[in-house]
Amino acid sequence: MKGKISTMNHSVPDFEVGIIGGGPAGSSMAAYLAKAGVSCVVFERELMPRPHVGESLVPSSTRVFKELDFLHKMEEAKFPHKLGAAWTAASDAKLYDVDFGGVSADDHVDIRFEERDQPGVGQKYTYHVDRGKFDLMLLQHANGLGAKVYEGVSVSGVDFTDPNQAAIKYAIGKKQMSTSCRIVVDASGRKTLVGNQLKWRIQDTVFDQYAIHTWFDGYDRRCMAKKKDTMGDYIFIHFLPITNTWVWQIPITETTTSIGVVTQKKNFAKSKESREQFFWECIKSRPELYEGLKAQGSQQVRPFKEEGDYSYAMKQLAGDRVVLVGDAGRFVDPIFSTGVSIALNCSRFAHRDIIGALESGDFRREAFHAYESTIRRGTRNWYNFITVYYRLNVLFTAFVQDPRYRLDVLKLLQGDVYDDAEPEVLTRMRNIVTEVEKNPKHSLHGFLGDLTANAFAQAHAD
Amino acid sequence: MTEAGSIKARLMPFVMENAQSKGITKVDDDDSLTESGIVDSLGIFRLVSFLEETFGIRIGDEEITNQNFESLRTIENFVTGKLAAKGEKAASR
Repeated sequence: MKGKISTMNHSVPDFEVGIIGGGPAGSSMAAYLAKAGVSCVVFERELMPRPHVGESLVPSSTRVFKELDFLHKMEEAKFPHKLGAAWTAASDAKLYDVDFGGVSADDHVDIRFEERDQPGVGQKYTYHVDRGKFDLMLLQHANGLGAKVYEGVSVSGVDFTDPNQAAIKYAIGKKQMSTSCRIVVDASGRKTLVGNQLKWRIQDTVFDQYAIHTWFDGYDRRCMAKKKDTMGDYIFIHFLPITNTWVWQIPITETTTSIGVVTQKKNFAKSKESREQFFWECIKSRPELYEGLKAQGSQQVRPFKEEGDYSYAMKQLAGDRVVLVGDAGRFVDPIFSTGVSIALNCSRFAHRDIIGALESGDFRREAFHAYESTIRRGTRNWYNFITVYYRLNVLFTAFVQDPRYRLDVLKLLQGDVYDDAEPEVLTRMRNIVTEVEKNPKHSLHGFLGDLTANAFAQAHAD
Repeated sequence: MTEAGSIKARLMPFVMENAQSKGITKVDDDDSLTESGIVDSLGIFRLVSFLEETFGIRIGDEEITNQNFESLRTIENFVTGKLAAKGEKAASR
């Protein structure tokens, strides 16, 4: 019965591994497993392609594309090359100082990925992607490698009662069905299917962010760039004068650009304006950006979409017969474009433990320990980096500009966060934040942002 | 040992460069560098690096206070103190 959907219980499961969700986490897992000859099935709720937020990658994803023989497809698809990242602030330094506590006099910093060679990557850029197209391509790639894929199948839960196998439950029409497997991979994204079912989900009380976003066609992305000829395909983060609020600017094609406003939920609720109005009010606080988006030839080509429920963690990332990957395991904040890359790297690390478990026949949580500890370490580093960034933004800018630290910060921005217990540069930044926090007379005390106060205590509690 | 006057002389070009970018042409010994915006949040880091390199001293995170970095005079006093401590250390070796 191997490889066949069945409603009956068999001692031999239908598949070795059942994967819930066909986004980047699920499809890269399926591709890794299929490539290794493991029978696996993917259940995707939507019919692909479908739009999705999270359109910019970091270079650590390249290693996964290489390992899955997918890199040439990224090139053939002609996704815009992401050469670097730039952060811009309102040029009125005084305003910026008072309202934002940010990078003040310097209203612009940028990095190029090629400044630092990244082991295992060997490419000076990463990509921005239309997630509809990208996710479909990666899922098809997994399918081409031998993974079974079902689209339009919404999984309702997993039955773990049988000690010899797990059963993934879903409905086809009115009929309740289930598929059995030895190991379940939850790649259900922010739906966090298994995490909810097993009550592992912990809401993050520090980051309560909210995003509203859309696409524009014909917007001249260079209008905010300092080096206009070379930075058109960078990701831009434009800071707004409202505390902890920023705009992403991500190239999707040569002419299409994704624009999104990220703010604290409380700002949004306070404004009492319609959501679209809020978007435009935010954009207006950066007049050059507003003019660019409203210029003749630039038009909005997608309806506004919103993302809430931003941040959460899980008490555990694996259990007996189950592994959580990508957003199904954790979501922090999209400031450094880490979502897809974390998802892909989850699969990179987790598939090894899964194959090991299938070989040994030991499916207890301990079998996935290497994955759990590696990803926890990596996401904790991300979390702390993001926390420093929001807590004392000037530190980020200062470190990027300081030749002693620039490459170490770049390493973090490239997504190289899984090797070290804590990168030295991050320890250094955290120590400074701690010093500034406890010393009201410190010159930078007044620049502390309130968003991530006590965030380190929070992070360490998980 | 470096004289206080010479500390100020070496500090002046750095401060004036920052002042001029804010349209300020004259800085007195007791003028507040932070209130005038001559040294802003990011400028503090630059100033610390500048002092460390110029005078060969190490400035701890806990020493970056308004008290030490408020004006030309307080910076001068602070650097003088650091250099004196450094000198004593060297002498006691």
